[in-house]
Amino acid sequence: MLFNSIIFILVFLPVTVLTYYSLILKDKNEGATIFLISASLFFYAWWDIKYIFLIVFSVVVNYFFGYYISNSYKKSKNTKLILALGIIFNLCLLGFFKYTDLLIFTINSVTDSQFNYWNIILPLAISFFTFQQIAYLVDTSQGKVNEHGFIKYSLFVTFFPQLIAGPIVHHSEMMPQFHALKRLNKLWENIAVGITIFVIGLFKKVILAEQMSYWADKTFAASSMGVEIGMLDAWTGLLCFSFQIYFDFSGYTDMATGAARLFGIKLPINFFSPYRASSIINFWRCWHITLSRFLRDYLYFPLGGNKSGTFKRLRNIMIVMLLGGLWHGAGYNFIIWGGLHGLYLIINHSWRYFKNINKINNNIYNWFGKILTFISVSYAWVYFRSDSLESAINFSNSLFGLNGVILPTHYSDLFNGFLKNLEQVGVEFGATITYGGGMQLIWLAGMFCFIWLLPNTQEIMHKFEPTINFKGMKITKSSSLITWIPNALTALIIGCIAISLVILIIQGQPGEFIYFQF
Amino acid sequence: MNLFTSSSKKYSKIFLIFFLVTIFLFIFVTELIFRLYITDSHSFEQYKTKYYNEKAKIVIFGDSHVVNGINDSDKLLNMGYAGDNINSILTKALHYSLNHDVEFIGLQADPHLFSYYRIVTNQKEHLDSLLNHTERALHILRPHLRKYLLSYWKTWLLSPSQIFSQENKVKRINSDTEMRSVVDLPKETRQHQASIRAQLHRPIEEFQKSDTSKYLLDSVQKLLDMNVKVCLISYPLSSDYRLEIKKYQKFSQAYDFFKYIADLKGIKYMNYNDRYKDKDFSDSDHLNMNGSNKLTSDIINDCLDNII
Repeated sequence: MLFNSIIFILVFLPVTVLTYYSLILKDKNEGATIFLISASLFFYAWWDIKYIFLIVFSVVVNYFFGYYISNSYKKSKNTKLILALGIIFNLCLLGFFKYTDLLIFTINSVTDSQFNYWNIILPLAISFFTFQQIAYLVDTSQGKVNEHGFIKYSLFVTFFPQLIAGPIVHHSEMMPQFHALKRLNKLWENIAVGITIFVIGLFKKVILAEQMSYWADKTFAASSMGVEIGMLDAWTGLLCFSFQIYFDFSGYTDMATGAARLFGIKLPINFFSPYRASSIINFWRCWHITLSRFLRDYLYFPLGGNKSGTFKRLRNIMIVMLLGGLWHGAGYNFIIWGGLHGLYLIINHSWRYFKNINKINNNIYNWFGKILTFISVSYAWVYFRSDSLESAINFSNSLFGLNGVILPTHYSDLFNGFLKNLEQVGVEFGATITYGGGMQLIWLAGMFCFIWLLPNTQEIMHKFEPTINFKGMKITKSSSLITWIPNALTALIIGCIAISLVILIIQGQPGEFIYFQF
Repeated sequence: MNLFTSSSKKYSKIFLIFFLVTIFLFIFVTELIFRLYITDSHSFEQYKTKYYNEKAKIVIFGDSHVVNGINDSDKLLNMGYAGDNINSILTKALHYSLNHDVEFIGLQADPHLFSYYRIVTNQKEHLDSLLNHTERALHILRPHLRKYLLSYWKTWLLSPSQIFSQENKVKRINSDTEMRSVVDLPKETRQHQASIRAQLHRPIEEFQKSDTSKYLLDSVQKLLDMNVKVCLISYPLSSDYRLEIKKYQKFSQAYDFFKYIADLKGIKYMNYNDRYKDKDFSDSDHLNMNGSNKLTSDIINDCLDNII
């Protein structure tokens, strides 16, 4: 069930919220929690009922691992062994469903053999709930987990707003919030904030991400079919994908945050205007924040972090990014995507060292960094979005003009005086394959305004602390120009937006979220 | 009530009442509009009725080249649908043959069916709606109706009378198109249009190895297995368009590929692309009324004479 589907918005979410609060009001707190777990499993089963056994199995096994780790921690005995078994169990489960075919592909390629692919369907959300539970086991082994109730643990893993594509939450962040009665304290505030954040997210998904996906999908589909698209088609298509994934993930995160808030639960901050970042280091502090946090705490630090000299630090960064890439998808193009980001980070750290030595710091560098970061991230998306390495290389060739530079026929009037010069450098005028003309350029200009000039959801909602860890983010005066206040006027404005969005959803088909495939 | 007084409770209540009442009213009124004025005259509903109720021994499937190029008769049924891609054409042909007593199927065999823009068109909803005999009870949930939902509302709000006369309007526009001839256009305009269309229609690289080609081969075989005679038909093209496609090798490769399939499967292949004069076309690659009369008669004579 998609957050942007009619069945979720008009049926599942309202019914779940109403039933949940009516149970709490009748003083059936345990019943409310069990109901929420059942609703979450129903939400998960809507996609494919047979995989419900997988998630239940994973929850039960991890719960028992957690239980034994906790006991052994108290007795200071065998903690590491049980933890290792728990982690191996999770990685095997993930590895089997996600990486079996990649392994067969690799064996076939290296040994020139012909093993058949297993074509295993990747269960929804497996990457997310696996990481979340690994974090739980590690935290338990370090004595950071105090609560071990099975019901609350089940809710911690299956809670539907964050189940499918994050944020990847910590046990310690969620458990204190699962005391149902506490949530009645600010019932109306939670409802109002939750609705508003959800509608903002829905707007990002339905209007911005879907429009961008129209052009991006066409361009990447053409490239994957071996069509040698021109440079203009490639760049406009790539920019559209950069914005599509941005608003898709940002929209999803907002909807998850909003839906959770309707139940009085605050999720951790996961997205904070990453395209405003003036360096790749800052980009990863603002994009999928909870994944970065997981990789830092449970991979980078155990590898030694930055405590073992410069070379090992850079090596660790590269390992983390390569594995981060692999986590996103079972394909070599995802590994290259991770590797590119690893390389960017290494260059960025080196530049930062150089910059500090030479005390370079001014606004021009800041803006240059912002643009360079955006272009670098966008280029890396080519490998992330393409469905194969050949297709990514074909797309890259188009970006660098190796597949020709074709402008629409009528643009020749614009360049009347320079036609010969343009022809000399290889520019042709003809039918572009995927370029959407002036309309696409206007949309792209609008997107840049959105990401660079307008406040983000956290800034709009900052008076009501929309997420956990939100206070670590900088809210500047200029970026908080549009601040949400709950009154009758804003209710009508948000109501009009919500109605328009629901009508648009009825009219079309809801598009899937990109991060659902991980 | 002050609009600016801050209160989460008031905000939530106003939002929920406003949202739910408006959405309910919208759905109710839309359903009424669809039921009373739209459904019966909608082109897809008419196509679906024809698909399930009309029968002929010879049935032709394809896109707008077929829609504009062939006339219905008691022995020949035009089941072309504008914008159909090769997957839809074949899926419909297979489904139709399974459910009707049909002796001969004519499949469109034009190179542009292998063009990128046509292959990537997602027609799943269209096919699901057509192949599922029973329709959804709520008209607002029918994909072919709801995708024009806002256009209907716009028409209804701006000029309510247009909704009532929509059927007549569609007929008039179609009739204009059918009578028009491309030779009435200035030569430069004709060449320009032909050039743009030919570029868009270029088949993709290695189309012969694509899934679409495999599906074509498989479907022809399945039709033959059902004892249905199959014919591949390449539709007529204006002289400007033919001149343009000579610039791209892929077009001639596509014609060769259709011929190869016909030889491989032992079926007929009729290529009409250079048999008609420009006055028979309404644009660079669609026939007008005169052209369609000629083509219908030619197809019956050339390709289907063993049945009629």
